[in-house]
Amino acid sequence: MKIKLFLLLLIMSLNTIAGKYNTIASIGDAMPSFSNLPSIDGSTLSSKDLTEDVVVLVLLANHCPWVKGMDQDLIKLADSYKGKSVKVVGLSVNLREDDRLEAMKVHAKKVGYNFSYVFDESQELGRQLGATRTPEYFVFDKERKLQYMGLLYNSPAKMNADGSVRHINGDVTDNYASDAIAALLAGEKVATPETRAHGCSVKYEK
Amino acid sequence: MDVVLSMKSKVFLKIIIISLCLSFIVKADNVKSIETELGFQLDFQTVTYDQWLKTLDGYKDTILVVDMWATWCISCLERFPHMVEMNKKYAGKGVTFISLLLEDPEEPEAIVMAKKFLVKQQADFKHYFMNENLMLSFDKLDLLGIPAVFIYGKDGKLYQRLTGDNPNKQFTEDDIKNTIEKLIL
Repeated sequence: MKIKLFLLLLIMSLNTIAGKYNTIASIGDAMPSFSNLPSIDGSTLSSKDLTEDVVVLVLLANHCPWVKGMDQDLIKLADSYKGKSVKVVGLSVNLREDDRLEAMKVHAKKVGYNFSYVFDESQELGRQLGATRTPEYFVFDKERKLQYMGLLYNSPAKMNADGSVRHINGDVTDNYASDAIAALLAGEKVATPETRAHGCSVKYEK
Repeated sequence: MDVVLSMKSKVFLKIIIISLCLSFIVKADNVKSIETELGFQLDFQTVTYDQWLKTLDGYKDTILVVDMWATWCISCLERFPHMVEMNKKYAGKGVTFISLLLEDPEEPEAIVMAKKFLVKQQADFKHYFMNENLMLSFDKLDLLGIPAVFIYGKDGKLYQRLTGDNPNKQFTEDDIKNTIEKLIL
């Protein structure tokens, strides 16, 4: 009886930890499959084509000051895992004109995105991920199980109208997404599996 | 020579101080001058989270609609005119609209921008600014993001949280109106 109660409490606590902020996805969930999402380079991307050990899906929106604020840090992140078995995929699901494919191409060129950037017009992938913020990170392991979701780091950055960037919590001290990728490449457990994403709203069609 | 240099320095210093004061006045005056131009007076208060909770307690015997917004949130700016319109529509029907601004307190220019926006909107209700670390504000409000609208019943209890925190449960102006109509009955 005591063992049953203990197991029940354990399962309940695990559930609480897994979906603490995200209302749809939980740590350990399988990566939703997607097919033929149009990319800014004219190609398409499908989940079955991904062969890397770690896949990072990051929700982006060209118009969002919180995305613009961390753009260069995302580029650095992608760069830091160059040559490693890591695939970074930027994903736009907003249907407003300035977040669609043509605007994505312009923004990616302007800021120098060095990773795949695809458009999910159906918004289905965003929904299945429970993604509601831009930026919002989802890191999957080799088995395509979700091992991290939330912030890039502990001090989100906003770009102001004059182009200046300000981190709201001062200097970055915890690089959650990068640490998660490093842990997975090393075959280790991710220390912080979920954080509360911070940024602009993803606007889903009702 | 030293005296001359010192005098020059003093004059230079004075010019800098006057310029800074002027720039402050001009900035402050911008909100004031828009208010004067539009004949509208903004009701804007800064609160901590604890003061915010006390503020909510102060709204008795009214249906309370709280619009949470920020100048960096385009969807919030797009929604705001509807809140102004609804405030007029439900005037005298036992419904009170207020707004809660969620900006980084270390960014005073955003607060000025927000005030200008509210004056231009002629948002004729009370506005509050949460003077807390921005991420902490979201944490305390248990919110992933904005726009969000919290609706309280006349008993002061939180009746509905309309948020975008679930992709499959998005809300529109109609949801706000429907909830208000239910509570008015």
